[in-house]
Amino acid sequence: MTVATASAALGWADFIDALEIYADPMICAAVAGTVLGSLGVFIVLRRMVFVPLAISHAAGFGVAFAFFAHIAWSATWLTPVASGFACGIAATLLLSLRRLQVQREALVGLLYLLTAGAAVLLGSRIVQEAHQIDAILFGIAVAVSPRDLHATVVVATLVLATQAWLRRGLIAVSFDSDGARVQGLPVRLLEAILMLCIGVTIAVTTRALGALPVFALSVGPAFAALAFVNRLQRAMLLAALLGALCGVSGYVAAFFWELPVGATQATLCGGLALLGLLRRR
Amino acid sequence: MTPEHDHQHLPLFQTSGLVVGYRGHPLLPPIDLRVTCGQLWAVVGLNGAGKTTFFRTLLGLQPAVAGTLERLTDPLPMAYIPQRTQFSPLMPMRSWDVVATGLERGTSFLRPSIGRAGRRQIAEALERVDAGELSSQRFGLLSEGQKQRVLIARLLASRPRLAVLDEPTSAMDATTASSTLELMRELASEQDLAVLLISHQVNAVVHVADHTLFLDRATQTVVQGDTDQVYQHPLFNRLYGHVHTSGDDFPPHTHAHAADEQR
Repeated sequence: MTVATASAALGWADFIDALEIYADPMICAAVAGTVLGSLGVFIVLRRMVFVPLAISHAAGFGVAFAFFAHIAWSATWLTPVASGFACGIAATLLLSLRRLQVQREALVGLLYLLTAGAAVLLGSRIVQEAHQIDAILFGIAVAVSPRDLHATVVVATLVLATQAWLRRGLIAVSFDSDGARVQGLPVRLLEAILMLCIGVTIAVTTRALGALPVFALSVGPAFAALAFVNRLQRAMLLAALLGALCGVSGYVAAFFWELPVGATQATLCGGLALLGLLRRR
Repeated sequence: MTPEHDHQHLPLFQTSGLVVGYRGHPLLPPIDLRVTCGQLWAVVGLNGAGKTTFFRTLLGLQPAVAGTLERLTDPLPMAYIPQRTQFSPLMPMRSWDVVATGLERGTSFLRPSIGRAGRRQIAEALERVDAGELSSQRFGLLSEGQKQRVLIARLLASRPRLAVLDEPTSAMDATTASSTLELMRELASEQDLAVLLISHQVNAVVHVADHTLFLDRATQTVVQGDTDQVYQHPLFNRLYGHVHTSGDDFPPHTHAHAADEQR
């Protein structure tokens, strides 16, 4: 299902009428944009902007693998949601390992190449579901199932509550992790919780929005917010707001100008990041 | 921040045969050190001598290759100012927020607010280092001297017994460096704080450090003791030239506690 309903005569009244169809996806995008934007502040500050890309593509691969397993081996027990979630979490754990003798950047690149390439290869073997693979990777789908919406809302609520509860610890660790360890803060636990929040959020939202928009929402709004405010907590709030706006705007643009939702969301996030860059100069 | 002079000369920690290094490979010979309240130790040595590794081992940030580190007082609240390169310029924090991170100990961050007492502690710490006017300014935009003052305020806000500073004067001009070192000297006396700091400015640090630990990896030398004594060590003089010390003005018998050279 794609947003191919636009015409020159369409106005806001038509858009409001069409909300019956778009309400769930828009709510989902707004909620996902909020939580990804807020988490994105820590992602950008901790210099791991490509980690969400690798995790989201791993989750995308998991979904593609479930479709393939269903067709090739009749493995109906393996649902796309569960498979995507499992792969996203596995990628998060892999990227969190400290004992690997490989730099995280190299691992992120490797993971991205393997999972993105494998997802497209699997897509070539399951022609009837190929559009689903595209939807997962690039976010061109409009339909969001009630299960995906509920999962997104529940995860977003839990992650935002965790962030609010641990915010002072997360700020101290992000500013100076060595200093925080010396002061007795449970730095590794806080870092593990942050990575878990990132992994779970990305694994769940990738199924609903697609890998590309999820990556964009977890970087662009945060990058802009960090350039425009002087306080970390305000940056988190602004990034959450910008993330929600980018998520919703993708559907508005798709309705009025027949643009693909995910690409529009990603481009808007990229534009915000560019604004942030210009502001910094 | 009331001075607690009853703690003067209270031993804080001692190392016995402490060998620092990476992945089991020692960088330096064993180090035996005993640090008490109110002392200011300068840790000097060329780049790559193992100074930061020594600090990180002392602080428990990395394991020792061998030997022991014994804390002689419990608890031993510590504070650390790492090298300036470790702070992200992207971080949107006011000086006040930076100092506030110094209040956190253990799981104190789970409390919903730092409270009135915490806010007073932050304000006092900023005022003590003459950085009150910087409290609402963005930390990343301050000069290096101002940043160090804010970081020292953070250190004070955490009310440590042991303060460890890794090259606090590295990006400062000579005047700012001297005033920063002088501030640390004052704080060590006033707060009965043991201070260990790395500095490459041996000419400046000699005026504030009562003790010095000189490390040289190339010759596997560790020299420690009174600053005047260490500065007269032949290897020190070969590397840095003769540095005028207060000991130069005193007769030799004032060097009663000879520098303890190992190897």
